[in-house]
Amino acid sequence: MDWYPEAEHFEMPGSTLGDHSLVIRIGALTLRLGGLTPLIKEMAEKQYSPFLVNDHSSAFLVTVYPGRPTYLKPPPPFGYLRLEERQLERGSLLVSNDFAAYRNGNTVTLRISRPDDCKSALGAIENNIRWIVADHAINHRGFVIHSAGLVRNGGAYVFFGPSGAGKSTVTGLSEGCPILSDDLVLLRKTQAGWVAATTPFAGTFPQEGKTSGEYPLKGLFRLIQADCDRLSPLPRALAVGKVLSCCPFIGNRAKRQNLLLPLVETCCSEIPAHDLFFRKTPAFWKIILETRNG
Amino acid sequence: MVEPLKLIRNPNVSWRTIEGQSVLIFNKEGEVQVLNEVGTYVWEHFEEKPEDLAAAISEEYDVSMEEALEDVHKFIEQMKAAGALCETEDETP
Repeated sequence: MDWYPEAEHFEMPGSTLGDHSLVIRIGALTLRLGGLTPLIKEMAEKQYSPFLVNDHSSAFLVTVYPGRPTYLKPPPPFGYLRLEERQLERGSLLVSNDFAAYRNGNTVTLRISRPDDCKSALGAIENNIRWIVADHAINHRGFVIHSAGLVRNGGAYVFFGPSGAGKSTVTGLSEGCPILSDDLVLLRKTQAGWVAATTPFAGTFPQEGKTSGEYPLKGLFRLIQADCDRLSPLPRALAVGKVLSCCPFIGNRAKRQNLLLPLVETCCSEIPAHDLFFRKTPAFWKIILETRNG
Repeated sequence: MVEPLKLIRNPNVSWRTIEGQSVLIFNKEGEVQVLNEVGTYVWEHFEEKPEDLAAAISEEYDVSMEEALEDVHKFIEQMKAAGALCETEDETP
């Protein structure tokens, strides 16, 4: 049976899992992960190596504690991970089958069901980082989008679409292009314009090759697998709708939606958005670069 | 006497019209819909009588009044089924 904790479940969580910590930076967000065991810290350092920083004035603090044996009923075999967000009186809750997290301001209390299972613990930490990054971005003129972000000639090209659209495929076809992510890219508006930032969120490509950084955003491309390569400009409303459909954590939060909608509209009015019909060859890059060069 | 029900926009649907097309986000599921020009016109003016909306659509586009009226009714039903429009008790005196 599903068990949705209330805030009290996080108020006196007892001892942390361990006393180790690390600090990472994603875009403009600095985040401290605390309460880690030596083994979880070691694995997290490996997973987030391009993002590690020595900055102890962290904006966000995530502390890990042991939790109940289960929270939500596990998904069926081969089913999607269950991840639900709820608004509580003074904060918000993110819950899955093997963890529950409570966020109040810049502090997250994360309780995990299987502290001895490093993979499960890292999965819980990763989902919490995604949650925090998505929310933090919206409050700082940015958003995250399910996409592959690739750097070419110093500019960022973002290829978005749902699972199976071809994010990992275009990443694999873009040899020599630094990878921002092949799963979730952070876009934010700076004084110099829109930039795309590297994130530690990986689909099938490993983290090791990543260098944390931000690059000027040159284009948004909705991926459509086809038997030819061509670009078709997306009318702005459609571009906004398609981009919004690829933004995670959009459901159940009116406040977030009200911030996200004008932000995505601004992005789509300042950055060209296209449908990219592509074959599984690197030839699509030629069309993109030709279009860009006029 | 039973008071007639009044149709209102669901306050939990975030929306915005961009270059003549409305983009709607349904709060609970986070589902996104982009309406075409005619849908946007009806969405923005749904408080008006269906006959008036149909007359405006019929005049602007090459469709008969009957066809336009049928489409207006159909669209409003679809928006109700999707939860974007909902019925409430009419509080006007």
